Amino acid sequence: MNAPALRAVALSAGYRRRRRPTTTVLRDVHLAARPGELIALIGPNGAGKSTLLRTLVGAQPPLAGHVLLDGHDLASLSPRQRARRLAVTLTEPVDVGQMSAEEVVALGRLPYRSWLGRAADRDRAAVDRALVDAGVEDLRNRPLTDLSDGERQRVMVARALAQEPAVLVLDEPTAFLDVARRIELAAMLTRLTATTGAAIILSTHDLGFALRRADQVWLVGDDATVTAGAPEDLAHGHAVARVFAGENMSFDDAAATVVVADHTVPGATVRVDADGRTRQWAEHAVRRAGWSPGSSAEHVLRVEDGTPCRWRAEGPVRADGVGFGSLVTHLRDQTATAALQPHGNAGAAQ
Amino acid sequence: MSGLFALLVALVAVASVVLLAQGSIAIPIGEVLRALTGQGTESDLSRTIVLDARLPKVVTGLLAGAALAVGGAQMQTLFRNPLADPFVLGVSSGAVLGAAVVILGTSGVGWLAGLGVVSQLGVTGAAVAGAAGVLLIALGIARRVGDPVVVLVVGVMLGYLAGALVDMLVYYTDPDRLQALAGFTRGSVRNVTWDELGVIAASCGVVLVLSVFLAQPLNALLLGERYAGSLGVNVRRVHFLCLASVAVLSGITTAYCGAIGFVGLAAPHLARGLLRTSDHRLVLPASALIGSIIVLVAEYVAGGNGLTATSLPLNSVTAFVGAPVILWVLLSGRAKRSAR
Repeated sequence: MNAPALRAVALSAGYRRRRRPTTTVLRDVHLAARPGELIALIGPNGAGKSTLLRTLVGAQPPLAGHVLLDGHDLASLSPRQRARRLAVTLTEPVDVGQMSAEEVVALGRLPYRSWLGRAADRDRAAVDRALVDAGVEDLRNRPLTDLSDGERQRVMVARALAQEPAVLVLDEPTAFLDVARRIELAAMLTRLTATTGAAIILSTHDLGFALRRADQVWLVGDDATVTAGAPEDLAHGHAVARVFAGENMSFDDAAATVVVADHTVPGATVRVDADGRTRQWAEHAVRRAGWSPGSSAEHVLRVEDGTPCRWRAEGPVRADGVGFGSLVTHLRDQTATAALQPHGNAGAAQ
Repeated sequence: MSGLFALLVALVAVASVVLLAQGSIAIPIGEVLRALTGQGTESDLSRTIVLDARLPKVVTGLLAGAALAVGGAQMQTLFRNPLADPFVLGVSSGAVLGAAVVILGTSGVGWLAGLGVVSQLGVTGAAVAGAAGVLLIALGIARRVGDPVVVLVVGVMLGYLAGALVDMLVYYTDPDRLQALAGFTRGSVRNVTWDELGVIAASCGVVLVLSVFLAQPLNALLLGERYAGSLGVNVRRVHFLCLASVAVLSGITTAYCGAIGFVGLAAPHLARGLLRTSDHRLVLPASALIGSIIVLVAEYVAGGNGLTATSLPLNSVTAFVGAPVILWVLLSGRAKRSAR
């Protein structure tokens, strides 16, 4: 296996402040990012994602331990040496005044140039390659201020790529993007790990994105630890559930995300009789009504494909209807009747 | 792009020659050029007027305009504020205060009194120190408060504060020394001797040339301090170098020409507008040329045309260029956008 591009060795991160006790946010963390890996850094707000990222990129010194970049201690590298190995994109919006996308990307070559130096062929080639890799070569002459959030994000990624880094760190790259742009970005990053061979580390709140796309997940917990592993291992071993599922939340394995735990009267189990996508969305509706899809002799739900779908429920109460909206209403009505709620809302309302 | 620079250089040359030719005594352009190139002139008088009376004024105007414009361009990026400029943010007032303390504070048994060059350098140094002091305060506040408009107001207040301190000093000083101070608040490129010009040219010239080295780091700073740091730029060092160069450029200019307003604000905006880029490698030299043109034209309007006997302070002319630019920047929402 390749040597890690970035390693954290016995790393403790936090804040050392004058005349106040030191705050240790993360303790004794061991991590390794290998070339070509896409790594998602996840964790609840306030657990220390930003602190870890800032320490990994050298924006703040570690309290203890080391960050090794390409085998060199980060603290021993000059800012320029570091900038040739490590590139970042930040969440803060940039306002560069009047600059084209290409000019912004060319700033990524600064670590390779003297303060007066003109762009060499090698610099121009690196900028061209970065523009192509990030899929923004069509935008190269457009002013950055004219671009959409998604396009600007990609230009900033291209600028980072122009640094030809061994490690690319993206802070919340999906934060301001809509669903389609997020998926585009994910596909691009996956492609980039292959084309550039860089290790890409990104922090995200999008749990589904992390579990579906990442080669490795770094899970920051509330207890000052970071758990690293394949997404499936962390999900299967309940590590994700432990960190994210609080009082009212539970981890839904099928959806690969955290859902609101049902603390209302639990509904019964219903056997869903449908095919393919229809079945998938019927089960979605069943869950939303507080029921669970499964095997049941008592409750059977048949759904016919169509737009909208036609459904028929068999059991103690028979009903049928068109559209999943009426199905959910029907299932909830049954729960309400069956529960004989001593503290139910139905009685209080009347 | 190079055509634009050629045009700006040509404009500077035309403005210089016109200023040399016009005045209380009009001298033909041909005679001006002969005097400049060292060929024989038709009269010794016109030679003396061109070389000894008018040339120092023109060169001072050139340097002052370039210095203020380059200082303004650096400040706008340093403060991440399109409205930053040595005059607007009170840096020039700080320089006046520094100079005033030395001029007025050395009355009577003052150790600088009568020491010619030394006292001159003392005043100059104090002006640079005053400029640096206001810059440090303004930058400290700007880094806490992101809103450019708030920083603008803070700068104006700092300017008033420095002005008030100068007024108080004036109140307690004997009238003889006030004459030396009168020029400071109004702005003028006249009354500069060749000796003084040497100091301006040496200090501002060196800083102007060295500021080319700041162009690339300033470009990186356009992305923000954290991005600049991630690109290997030593942000603290660049901040320090910019502060030092702005302090020298505006301090020296103010010490010899008084507070000339709005050139540092308007010239960089005009440069960016003409070049259609924020790249400092182009914006800094273009700002310098445009700043020179503004000051030369302002001097022409203020009294160098020889049409009227009275001469206006430069400030009241440059305000005609600067105030509309401030309004344009504010109303077009650029200030708000960069506050994000």
